[in-house]
Amino acid sequence: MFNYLKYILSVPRKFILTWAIAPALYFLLLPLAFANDSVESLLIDTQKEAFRGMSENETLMNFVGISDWDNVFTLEGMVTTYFLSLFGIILVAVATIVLLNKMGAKAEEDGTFEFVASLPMTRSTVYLTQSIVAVLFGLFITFTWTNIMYIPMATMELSQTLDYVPLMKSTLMAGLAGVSFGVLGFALGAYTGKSSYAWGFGAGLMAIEWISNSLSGTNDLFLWIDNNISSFGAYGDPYQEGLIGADLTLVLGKIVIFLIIGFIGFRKRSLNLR
Amino acid sequence: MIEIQNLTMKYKNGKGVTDINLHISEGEVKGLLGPNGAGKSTTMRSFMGFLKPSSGKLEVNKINTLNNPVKAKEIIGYLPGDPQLPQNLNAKTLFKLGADMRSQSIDYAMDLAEKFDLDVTPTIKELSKGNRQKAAIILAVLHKPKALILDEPTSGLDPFHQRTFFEIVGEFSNNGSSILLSSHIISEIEKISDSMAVLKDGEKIYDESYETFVNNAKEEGKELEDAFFEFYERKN
Repeated sequence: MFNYLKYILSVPRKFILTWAIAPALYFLLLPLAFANDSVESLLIDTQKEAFRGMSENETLMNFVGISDWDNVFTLEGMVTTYFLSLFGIILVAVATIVLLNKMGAKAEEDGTFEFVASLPMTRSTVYLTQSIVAVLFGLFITFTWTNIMYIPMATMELSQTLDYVPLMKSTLMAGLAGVSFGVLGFALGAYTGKSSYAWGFGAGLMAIEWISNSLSGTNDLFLWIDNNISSFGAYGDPYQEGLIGADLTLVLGKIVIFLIIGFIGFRKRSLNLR
Repeated sequence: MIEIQNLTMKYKNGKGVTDINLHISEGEVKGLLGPNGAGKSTTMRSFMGFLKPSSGKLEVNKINTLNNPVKAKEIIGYLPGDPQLPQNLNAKTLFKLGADMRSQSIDYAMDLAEKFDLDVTPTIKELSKGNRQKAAIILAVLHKPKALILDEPTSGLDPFHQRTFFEIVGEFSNNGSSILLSSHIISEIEKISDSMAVLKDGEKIYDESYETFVNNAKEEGKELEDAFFEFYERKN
């Protein structure tokens, strides 16, 4: 298993590094926007006023992950209730689906999996190794992003800053939420051997839960989904409220159930080789 | 020893193979002949456990390849019909990973790379089709397997390196490995095989020693290729 893990990490190492570093560098803009009062005024206050009209439309705000207009223009709001509650989750899900497709369903379709399949490993070992990568990769990139974003907070005198431990709690919840979608994509790819299923189900569930989250104020069904099923809903506000057992259980439960579904399918089917 | 008994594997479209029986003794090289879609790759992939057959007993050295895949694959070397390798790694890294996953050293792989005149430093993406095929062949045999399943192994190799390949297969055969090798063309089988089996539309239509087929062709006063095509067309 260890050697297969080494193979999985060697083949897409550029992809892994790119996804770990590039978004982090881009999102460094968030803390640096609070470098001092004048930069904050230029970058933050101007935007806040320019888009104020948007704050009157709750659905639109929810759609882009904003629950509190004034709060989102603070560093805490930007990082923990805007970036991590929406875009971070989406990025983790997409990256996980792409990576695991490269190792799984897509690799079956393009033939690279035939080499792996000829090695002395059971399908259970292959699947278990891929599952570990699916979960840890999502968490790894999320923690890399927020830790890189934390560097200016720890080393510069910003006009606003964040506490490290609550930030890591938010990171964990965002990472797990993203992984829950990514893992569904991976699992359905493994179940069917078709990469289109990985995207259809992984991105499909994410879209449904995102829309439910956006429209939760308008409809009881969406509200119920957001409260009881949605990984976006489960994110909550971990920076202020810490990790909540029920939310963690929901997301971890989804991950485990999806992985079991994929395992059942992957063990019993023929490989989808071209 | 490779044993395939009553193998039936059907795809959703109804194609596949039906009731295939093959026996390859230690040191024997069996050529598996047939045109595209005859069932050669399906037979080989079923034997490797990639496809789930509806029936059949598949064994290598009395180890069931479906029930005991780890032990079986430890002693099998498999070359796919269209080998696709990770594009961004170079051959040496790939050999190292392949050797590590089989708890082997890379030495034999590097010896073979030298025999094949394969530069192991460029990435797979940068290699020509023939050189990629060489890398795939080396990956298939670097653990000195007791059984070899080779799906169209000379595809893309130039005549010089085809000869090197046949020498390597000959060495494995002399050391007692059982070898199943597929091809479209009988002249390729001629160079290396002790026996040959022919598949048509997923069914085995011939399984004898290579010599028997050659003698029959001679008796009929026909060229080998012509005799083979006529035989193939006659079988319905």
